[in-house]
Amino acid sequence: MSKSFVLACAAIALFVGVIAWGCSIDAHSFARWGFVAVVLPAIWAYVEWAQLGDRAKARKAVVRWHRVCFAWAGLMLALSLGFRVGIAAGTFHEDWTPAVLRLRGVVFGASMMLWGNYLPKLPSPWILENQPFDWTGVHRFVGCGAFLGGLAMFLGWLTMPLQDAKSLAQIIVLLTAGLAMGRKWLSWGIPADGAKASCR
Amino acid sequence: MSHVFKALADPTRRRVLQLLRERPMTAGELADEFHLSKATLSGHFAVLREADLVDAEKKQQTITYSLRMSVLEEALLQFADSLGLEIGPSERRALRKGA
Repeated sequence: MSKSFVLACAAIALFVGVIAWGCSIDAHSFARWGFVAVVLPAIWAYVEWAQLGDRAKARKAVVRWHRVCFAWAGLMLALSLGFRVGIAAGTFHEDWTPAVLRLRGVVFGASMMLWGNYLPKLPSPWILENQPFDWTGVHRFVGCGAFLGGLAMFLGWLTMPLQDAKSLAQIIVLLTAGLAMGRKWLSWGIPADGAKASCR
Repeated sequence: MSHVFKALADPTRRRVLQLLRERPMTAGELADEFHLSKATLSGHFAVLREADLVDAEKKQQTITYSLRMSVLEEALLQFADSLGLEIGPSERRALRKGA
């Protein structure tokens, strides 16, 4: 078993553990807790299953990258939800909420910057002629967008009032996801050698 | 990181990276853009691969290079290009010792 796989499993187990803690406090919402517990492992399972490509080494690197991202996401979600459940359980004080929210936002912004920075370095799992879309172009475009969005989010959570920072973060996440999907869709079927530089 | 600085310090290698920003290119296509010997260019490609700035795909006799730069590495490339940075012999020796 690879390290990245163990890390992702551990983070998701922690997340599910926090949900079990929440469920023990609020047993009436069992179905809701159960749904939340299934979402992250289900997305991870789908991503693992959906990995294609004909370059084994590059494909392995892409899978490792996804596992590390899921490990980090699981840890972040577990800490974030754990704090809320902790308040309900009386472990943490409600007054800590603004500081924790701000810290969470800053860490999220910084994580998005790191994610965006590294994204264009992911090797394509397909040989050039078999690429279903312009891999390099899409990853450079999304990497740039995520890096800049993460930077804006990082600065927003550091300096803006909480409500404004939250609105900004939501807009950035939606915009980044929308642009990423749009860019990928537009390049579908375009051979890699026809791609133009897009990270400008 | 020193590998990246070493790779970006040379104008020929920066030109190669700028060309690859447009599209993936074969070694032959890249060679057509420079008046350099095959051995010299191969050396430049080796430095770029060592720094993990390009991806090389070999198919029969043809090697196709594509860009593999992080956002910050691209920003560094732009910065080095705009300043026209070039390292001297003493820095080159120091980098060789550090590598």
